Amino acid sequence: MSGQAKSQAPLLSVRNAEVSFSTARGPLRAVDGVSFDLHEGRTLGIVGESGSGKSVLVRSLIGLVGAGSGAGVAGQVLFEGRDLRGLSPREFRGVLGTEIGIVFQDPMTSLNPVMKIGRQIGEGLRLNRGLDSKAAARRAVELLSEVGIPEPERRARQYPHEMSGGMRQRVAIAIAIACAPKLLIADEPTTALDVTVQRQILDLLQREQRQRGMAMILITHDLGVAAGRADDIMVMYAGRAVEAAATREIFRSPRMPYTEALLRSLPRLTDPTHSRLSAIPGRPPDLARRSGGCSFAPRCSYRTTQCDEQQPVLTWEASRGYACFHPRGVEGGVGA
Amino acid sequence: MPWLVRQLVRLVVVLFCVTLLTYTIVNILPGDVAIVILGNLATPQDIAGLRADLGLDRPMLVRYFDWLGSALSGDLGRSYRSGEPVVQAILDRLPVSLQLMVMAQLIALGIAIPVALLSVRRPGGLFDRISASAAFGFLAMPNFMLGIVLIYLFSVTFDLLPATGFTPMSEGLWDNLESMILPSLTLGLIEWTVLMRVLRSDLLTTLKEDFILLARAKGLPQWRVLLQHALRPSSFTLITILGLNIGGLIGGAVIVEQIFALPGVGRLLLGGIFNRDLILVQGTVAFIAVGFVVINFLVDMLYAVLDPRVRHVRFRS
Repeated sequence: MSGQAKSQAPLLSVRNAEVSFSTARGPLRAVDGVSFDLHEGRTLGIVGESGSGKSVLVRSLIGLVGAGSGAGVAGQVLFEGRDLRGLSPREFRGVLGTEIGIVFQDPMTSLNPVMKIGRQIGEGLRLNRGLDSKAAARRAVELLSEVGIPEPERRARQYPHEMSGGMRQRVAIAIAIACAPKLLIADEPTTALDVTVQRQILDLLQREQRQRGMAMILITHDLGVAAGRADDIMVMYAGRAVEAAATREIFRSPRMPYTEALLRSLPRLTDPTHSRLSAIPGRPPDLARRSGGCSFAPRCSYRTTQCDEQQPVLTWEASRGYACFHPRGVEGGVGA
Repeated sequence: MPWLVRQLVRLVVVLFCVTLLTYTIVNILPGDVAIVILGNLATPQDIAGLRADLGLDRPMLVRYFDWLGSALSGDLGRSYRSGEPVVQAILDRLPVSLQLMVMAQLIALGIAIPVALLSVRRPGGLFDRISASAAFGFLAMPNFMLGIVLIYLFSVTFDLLPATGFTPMSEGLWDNLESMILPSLTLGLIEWTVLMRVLRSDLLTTLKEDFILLARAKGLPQWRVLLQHALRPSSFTLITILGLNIGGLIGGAVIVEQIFALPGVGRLLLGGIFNRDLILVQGTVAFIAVGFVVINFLVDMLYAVLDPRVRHVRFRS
């Protein structure tokens, strides 16, 4: 994260990322001024509820939001010091194909239903690494076996509908890592899967990341998923980064009341049986009608008039940042 | 019920309804083939005699089932007018009509697919709007008018292609194609519009899928995303329309063959109607109906080729 002292330059550096859509009810700012750094080999967990802008943010960084959808994208994205937004379409496709891999949420829809698995894996290799179709097919089989799919030769000749959800997500991971990227983006990679399979997929992602020394962005709405896997966590709410810190600090002492409420809503084994889960009252704000104040204020139990009138900015205190006038666990904060 | 059996049952039902309906309608039409053959000056006795010879004095339903019986064994009877076997008359003219329709479909697809692919590159963009307007323009134009416009342009004004007439393939491929280009264009230029619109709308839906995002994330350029990932999963409605449009195409062919004086099945049918040659009309219509159902049967098979999921459901379970 930005606050961390790292000698080398970050692999990915994002400054003031914005994404807005024009809707019938006026412009909607889905991502509003988000900045972060990601270093080689590190895992950043981006956590937030549905509609908080986490997926849109990450997709906009790699150019998958924008063209054709009428979305407005702003801000600076540096990858290995290169400004991605300044590249020609051809150069950009080169970076995307070789340096960045992505795994989507739903493996039922993220694989082409009418193309054989092997070809879908080999496609990027042929395009970006110049392999001929035979070599690409061989490599595809190797990748399938690497991601733990039995009988890879046979599976490579199958179509996605002949596989289970967990297997398809393994295939999606094989596609993402095929060209040996430096950054792996996992966009809610386990949300659409059975609980029993979720862990296997997360373990696989983590193993591949460590072996290959990739950096990873793990997008999830489940703090529990991010807990054991991410080095750092950025919490998003209503299109803004509201808290960012090392994972253990987030869990030990959240600053932002929203993070605190999220943590409280996780079930714990130590809870007495049949106790109610704590929920956050209210609903996320309408992004087309932003108020001038803190987006979380209407649902926050520490709300003051200042929260309604001013928008808190993400401020850094040592190695962690939060956007709140009344941070928890801090001198002068409400909970101090 | 197995898929194949269902298709066959459908074929039988369609044929029965179509032929019975045709039989009834042609019988209700005023006019009499006996008068057409013998001329207006024939005596009532002569006419009655000829009608008895042709079997026209029997009740309609009796004649229908009589016809149906022999039709099922492949005999569509002989033309009242010329005495030529109906099957032979159709087979003689079939190559012309088939060529017309195949060429028209190729022209239609040859325009529709590239235009749809180009217009989804930027929906609502200039190309998209122009192609949409052009499509509606062509769609609104009746084919007989388009045919005449094409004759005026290519034959009268620029003298590039023959206006009417047909040259068989045996007399040279190019001469043959030359005589077929304008008629096929007349049909194809109207046909492409619907194909383009359905393909465009299916492409737009497909382009929102995650696997398209994934294809982009692999670094594939736009044209490869469109051709290799989006086109095939977007072509199912196109294929359906292609099959269903065969009906419209046959109807169009009747008119176009007339305009361009092509000796096809459509003209045979039209001549039969003018002559009240019931048996010829009946046979031709039945033949066209079988053709329509068979083509749509083949179209259904095509889904399985295009979509492995259909293959799975239909042939393995």
